[in-house]
Amino acid sequence: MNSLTRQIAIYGKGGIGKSTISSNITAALSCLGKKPAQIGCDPKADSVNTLMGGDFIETISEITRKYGSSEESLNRAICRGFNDILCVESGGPIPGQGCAGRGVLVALDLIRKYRFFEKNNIDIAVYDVLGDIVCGGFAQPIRHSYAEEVYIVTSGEYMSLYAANNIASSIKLFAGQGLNVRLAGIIGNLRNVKDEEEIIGEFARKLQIPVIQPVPRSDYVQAAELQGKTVVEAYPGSRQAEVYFELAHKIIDNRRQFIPQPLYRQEIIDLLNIYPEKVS
Amino acid sequence: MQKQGFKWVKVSEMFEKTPEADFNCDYPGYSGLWCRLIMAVTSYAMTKNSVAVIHGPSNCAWAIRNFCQTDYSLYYGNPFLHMPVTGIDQNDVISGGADKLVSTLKQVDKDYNPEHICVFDTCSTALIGDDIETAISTAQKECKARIDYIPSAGFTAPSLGKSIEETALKYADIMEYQAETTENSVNILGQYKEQQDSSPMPGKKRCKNRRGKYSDDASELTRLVEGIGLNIYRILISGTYDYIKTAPQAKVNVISCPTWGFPLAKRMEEIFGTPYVNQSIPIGIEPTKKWVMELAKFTGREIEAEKFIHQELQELTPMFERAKTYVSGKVALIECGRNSQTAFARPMALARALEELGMHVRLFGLHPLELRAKAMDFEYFMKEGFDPLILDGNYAYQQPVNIAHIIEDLRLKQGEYVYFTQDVFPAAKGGVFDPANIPRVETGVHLRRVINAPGRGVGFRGARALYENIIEAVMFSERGSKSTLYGRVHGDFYESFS
Ligand SMILES: Nc1ncnc2c1ncn2[C@@H]1O[C@H](COP(=O)(O)OP(=O)(O)O)[C@@H](O)[C@H]1O
Ligand code: SF4
Ligand SMILES: [Mg+2]
Repeated sequence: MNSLTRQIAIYGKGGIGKSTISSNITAALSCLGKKPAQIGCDPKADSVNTLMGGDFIETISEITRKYGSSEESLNRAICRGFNDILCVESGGPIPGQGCAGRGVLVALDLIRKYRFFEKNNIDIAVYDVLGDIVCGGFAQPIRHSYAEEVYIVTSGEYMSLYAANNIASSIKLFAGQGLNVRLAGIIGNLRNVKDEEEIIGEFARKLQIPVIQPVPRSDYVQAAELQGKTVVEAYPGSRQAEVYFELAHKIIDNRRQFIPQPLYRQEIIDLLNIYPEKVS
Repeated sequence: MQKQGFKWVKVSEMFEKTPEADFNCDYPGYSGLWCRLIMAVTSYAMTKNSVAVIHGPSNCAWAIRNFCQTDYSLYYGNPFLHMPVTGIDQNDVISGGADKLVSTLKQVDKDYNPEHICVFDTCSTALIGDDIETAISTAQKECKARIDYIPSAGFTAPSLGKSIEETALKYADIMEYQAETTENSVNILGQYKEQQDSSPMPGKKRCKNRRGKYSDDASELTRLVEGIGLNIYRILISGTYDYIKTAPQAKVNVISCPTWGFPLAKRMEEIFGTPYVNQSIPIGIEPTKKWVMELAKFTGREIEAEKFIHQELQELTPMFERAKTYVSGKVALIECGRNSQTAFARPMALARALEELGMHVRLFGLHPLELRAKAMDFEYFMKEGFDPLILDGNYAYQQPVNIAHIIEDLRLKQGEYVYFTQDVFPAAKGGVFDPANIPRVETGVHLRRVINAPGRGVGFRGARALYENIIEAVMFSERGSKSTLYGRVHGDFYESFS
């Protein structure tokens, strides 16, 4: 792989805020003089939506279906969004048909084969990946030395922690197989559950990885989204934009990488029981 | 052989100790010898006015096309069966291939205008879980031909036996209920060819007006049925959709090959109430008598049958007695499969016939999992009380067992055995230049199904052919003046080695 392009993967449960975080990170990175690219690896195919002014771009799956897999197809799939950020969606089938994981695999193969990052002088590529790792396809970005640096997005809720823990397990497994993939840390995307930061902190401690940054819940996110923009673009002066810039800086500076120690399912439940929710 | 863990055991012992084969089974060294798709499509290739639509990548279809159109076509039904393929590629794997199947079906209906279309799926489309039934019912609304589906993904049946059984059952689903049955009509199940394929060739005196020296299985079974005054209604699997569909109109089913025949007969009994005669693969005198008599009892034709059998035996007995003088007391080494260790019913039936000649039978070359997968055949022979010795072990994948090792293992001397080979392809030329001078009788499936080729098959005529072949083989091996291959090519010097 091109050593000049740093490739990071953002994993997490569906709907947890991966795309919001990814897009705001790439937007912030572009404002900081970097040349980022964002690759959506989720059949939902809405990863780069807020970088594209609210447009849904044609996915690699759709394009290769029509035109076959060629460099031309890849070029068709590449869109330029906010601040010239290069955006790609792997796409996937209509739910209930076919094999979405294979779609991710094909998209990444195209990107690698036709040297997308190299030809476009990308210095940071962000893979925004559905993290419920339902099959091997969704592990592609962290296999075969694509992204070697993984960030997990989670809230303090059980399902989200559960998915995060699964991703940690895969990373441990791949690392054990000799792959270079490592966990950089956790990005908390807060849903305002009780004691959320403590829960996430405790969870990270058990996994033996750091919490990179908690991202607060904010109405700016939806407001920006409605305009088809990231918070960084729509409200650059807001406190929320500041958080995303901070996160972008931390990612740029981050050099630490870990092999996590995943938890047993019961351990996650026990952890949540330390901070019992009030039943009203 | 013993050092490699091979053992002579009773067939029943080998059956009991072997785990059932399913696709989670990991019997050491065995990953299945045949793709189920091949079995399914080639069985369908015995039908007429039909098109097999293969739902999968083009290479799956090529495997079958090759299979049907090369040497194999000599015995497998229609070598030119149309087998268009949906041509699934990576994009279809990602997005699902059902749409492509629907459009292919419509196109096939228009272009080929067949009576019947059958969809066969493959590993890739089965693994992504394409909804074939829904696709078929979508296409059916716009197609004239009736469309059916036979599940056939290679990975779903590791053993040949299981894939045959499951494929056979599907033919009952294609049939339709018939309100009335036709008097005295009989279906033969588990038989490949239609009888007209072995119809007489007028003017060819040497062949006694028959296409070959020996009659093929389908015409001999027909002769047996007609010999007691009954009529053949359908021989399955063969014919057009209409021919198959109306099979339940027959009064009774009789069985040729149990592997194909019994599952289909049982299913037809369940669905349509068609009874079947519980005898199969009548090779040898007693089994043929029994096969005819059971059918006669069912149809109230015992007197005709006794008369018929009596006449037949009068003709056959001298040859039987003669063959006996050549082989009685010798060991019959019966190969169940030369490259594919899969044949069971036929070698067993042959063994039964050879015991009648006073031979001691030994079977070998059957993979234990394939035996296990043929539970219905196994049950049949056990019910008949026939449980001979078989060589149990972990056979090398698609490697023939060396007959010399078997002979050595049993400490047999020349003149004490006859070797019955299996699975020889129609174009095979082996056998003649046998350095060990082993009397060998070819019993390969191909020989019985190819027009104009000698068959060692079922019924009284099949038995006669078998006896003739045995006598020929033994006489040939006893001849002193045989040349070696090099001797023939390069001269006498090379004869000194043998
Ligand atoms: N920090 C936040 N504050 C408020 N809403 C958020 C925040 N992060 C994400 N969301 C909302 O959550 C929804 C799902 O986020 P998204 O990034 O699409 O998730 P994912 O990509 O993980 O499926 C979006 O509609 C987004 O507006
Ligand atoms: S891929 Fe599967 S269905 Fe196709 S030929 Fe191979 S085993 Fe048979
Ligand atoms: Mg997303």
